[in-house]
Amino acid sequence: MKLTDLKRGEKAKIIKIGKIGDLKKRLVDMGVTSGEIIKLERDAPLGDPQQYIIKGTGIAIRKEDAKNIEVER
Amino acid sequence: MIKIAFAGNPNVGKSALINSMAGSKLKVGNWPGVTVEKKEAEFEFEGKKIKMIDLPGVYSLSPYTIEEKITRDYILNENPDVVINVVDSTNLERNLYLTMLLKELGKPMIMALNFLDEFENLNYKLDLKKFQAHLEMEAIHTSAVKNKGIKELLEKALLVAEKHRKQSHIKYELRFDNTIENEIQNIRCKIKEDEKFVPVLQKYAEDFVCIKLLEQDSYFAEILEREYGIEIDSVTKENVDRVEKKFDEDAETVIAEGRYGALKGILAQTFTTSLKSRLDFTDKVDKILLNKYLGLPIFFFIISGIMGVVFNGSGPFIDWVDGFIGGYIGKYVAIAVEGTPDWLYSLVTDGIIGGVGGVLVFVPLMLFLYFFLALLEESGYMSRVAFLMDKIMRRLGLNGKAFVPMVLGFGCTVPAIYATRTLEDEPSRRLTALMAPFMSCGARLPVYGLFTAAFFGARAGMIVMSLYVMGIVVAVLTGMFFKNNPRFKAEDKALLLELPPYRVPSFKMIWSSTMTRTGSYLKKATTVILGILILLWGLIYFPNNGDASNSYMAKFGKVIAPIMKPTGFGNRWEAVAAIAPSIAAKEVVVGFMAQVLPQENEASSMSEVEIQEEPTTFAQDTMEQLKGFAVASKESVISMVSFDVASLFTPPSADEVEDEGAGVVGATAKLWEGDPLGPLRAYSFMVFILLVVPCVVTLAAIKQEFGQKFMWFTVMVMLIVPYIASTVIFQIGRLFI
Repeated sequence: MKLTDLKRGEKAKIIKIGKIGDLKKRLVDMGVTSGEIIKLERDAPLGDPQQYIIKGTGIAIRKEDAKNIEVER
Repeated sequence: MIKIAFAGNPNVGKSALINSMAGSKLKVGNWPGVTVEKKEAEFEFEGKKIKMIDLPGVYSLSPYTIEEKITRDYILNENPDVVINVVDSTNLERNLYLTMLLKELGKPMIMALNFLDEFENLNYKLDLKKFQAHLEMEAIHTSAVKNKGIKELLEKALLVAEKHRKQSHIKYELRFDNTIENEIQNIRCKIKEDEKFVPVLQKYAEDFVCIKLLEQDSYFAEILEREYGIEIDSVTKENVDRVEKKFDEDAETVIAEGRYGALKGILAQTFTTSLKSRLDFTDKVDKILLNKYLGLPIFFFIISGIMGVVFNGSGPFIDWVDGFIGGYIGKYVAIAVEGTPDWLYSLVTDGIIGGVGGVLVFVPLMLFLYFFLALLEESGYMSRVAFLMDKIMRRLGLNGKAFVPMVLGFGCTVPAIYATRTLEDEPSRRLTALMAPFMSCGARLPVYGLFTAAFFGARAGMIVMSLYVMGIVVAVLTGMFFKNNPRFKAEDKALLLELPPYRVPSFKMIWSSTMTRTGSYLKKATTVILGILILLWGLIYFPNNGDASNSYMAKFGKVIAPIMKPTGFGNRWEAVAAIAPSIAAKEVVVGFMAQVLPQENEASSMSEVEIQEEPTTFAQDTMEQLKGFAVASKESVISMVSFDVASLFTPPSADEVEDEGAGVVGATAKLWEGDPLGPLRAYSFMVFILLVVPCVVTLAAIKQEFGQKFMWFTVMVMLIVPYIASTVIFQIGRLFI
């Protein structure tokens, strides 16, 4: 399933980050790596971007990018 | 001299740490060619000369952002004697990733485990001895807030520097898994036999070269090709292919995950977490500040609060500085130059004193602005602003943080330009700086006040409102027009933002950053501002000794007027000539109009009745200034708490405008008296003043931040845009009248 399929407060394990250009490297550098647990914290008040928690850090990415990250429950 | 470089993630308290070491010795500048802030300090410690360099906060050393390139280039090319890696000890797993990357560079290193106080509160445990052994470097617990471990860190850093004095590269253990280690070993053998790599290996650590080759790092590949004539594909294609085939993933990602694997291994043996989370407090605050319904109202409340505090709070001090320079210093300078030729007297009292005043009145504003910007950034809220506003600003290809400079622009364009620093990438900063001057600033209000009083009467409010909207619309259109231009388009527009834990900012650190940044404004901007202001003084003073309506400026207005015909206000040279002085400061238009327009007799005789003042002594004047400062401080506090944002958007009344020159409203009304198109011409003029080249202080700020070329580009844009806008408004408007 896609990362964007998560419900608020739900956790999942990252399987693979798809091809999203330079963003992929930046995500990996920030600790978004396969095997890690990621949690959807909330959507921004305007609906986008989204706040996730990974490795004890809050990060924000847009839905259009998050949908390229494959996760499993 | 011993060079110490500080490297670490953003939001790890690196600046506060350096601050507590270097204090007032800290200097702020920019890295060459970019607007990334560079902080340096030179001082003596235990008899040794030390130079400290604060490298930009980065998550990685990849070649994707300017900050990362700067950090990497600095460490590789400038050979610091020791690198202090500052980490957030409450978030080691994420922070140690950069440590692994820094180690690959093979330089002497020492680690500062920062936020000791939080670490202890969370009941985290670290086996420091084992941790140091695994990392092959010393690590010291530090806390800038509690002033702990800072002296020890500096002492140990100097010892590390001394120990590796003669060593060009340090060989750290890499700890990748076997597949990767084997490939690295294989590449190592290949390049050691390759003659072309001899100079490469003299400059760079062996491990670094091998890893970058396997990662196919584009930046390093470029250096190899350009400086050493080596094509990396020919060297390592087979290794890369083998890795990618085995892991079904690109080599770069595999290696990055390898680093995380290694550091996880180290932490598993040395670090014990607790039931508490470092985000407990942050979570609670975010539930309110990022709340679906409350998030945006709170944001608008905070931003308008900051507008109110920055502009209303600095206002009384600005007035005081104005009076101090013009009235107090000016009075005694005037006495000193009394009896000199008229032009020299005017140059000193009007040109130079006026110019110095023009520079200094911005100092209170700078202090307030930088204080609150630092507060927003250090507390962690600025990242939330980016999060909240992203959906709106992304249409212009901008980050949500760009919203802050735009809003500040309604108060004053100068702080708006300096506030673009909070954006991450150079192209976004440029685009924001290009748009911000179109936001109608406070200095335009007296011009609106004059022209609405003269031509619009009761409809003034609506007219001013429409000008604000016009500014926003033009800014957005300009943004749309340039957003795909390579100079304004970041290579990677994807959003990836850290939302760091909320932290109580260190007041000392905010204070020092406010002072150094304001100092850098004074140093960098003064000459430009002073130069242009004196030039403008000369153009108004000469050739007829202060008679503005026969000055070079007036002649210039008369020559240009025909070109301005399509805009509607070109039929009066006075209006055209007023454009140039608006560059000194927009509100100067009012005073200039008062000088060039023929006044009613009654009005001019009014101004000749001078109130006879008792002569005062120097001591009395000085006392008066000190009292004035106390009053300004009191007023500043009162206006800060009164939260009167609306006053920032209200033009002065006709009476207040008359203070600038008695009878100026009536004289201005005569510009187009009896002309049915008069109000339209006046409106077109206000639009032109709104959109035309910003004041000289803004130009100086743009030059300081983005360089001279970009400043001239802004000037060009802000000559063409108002010409088009005013022409369109007048030509369309006249069809309906």
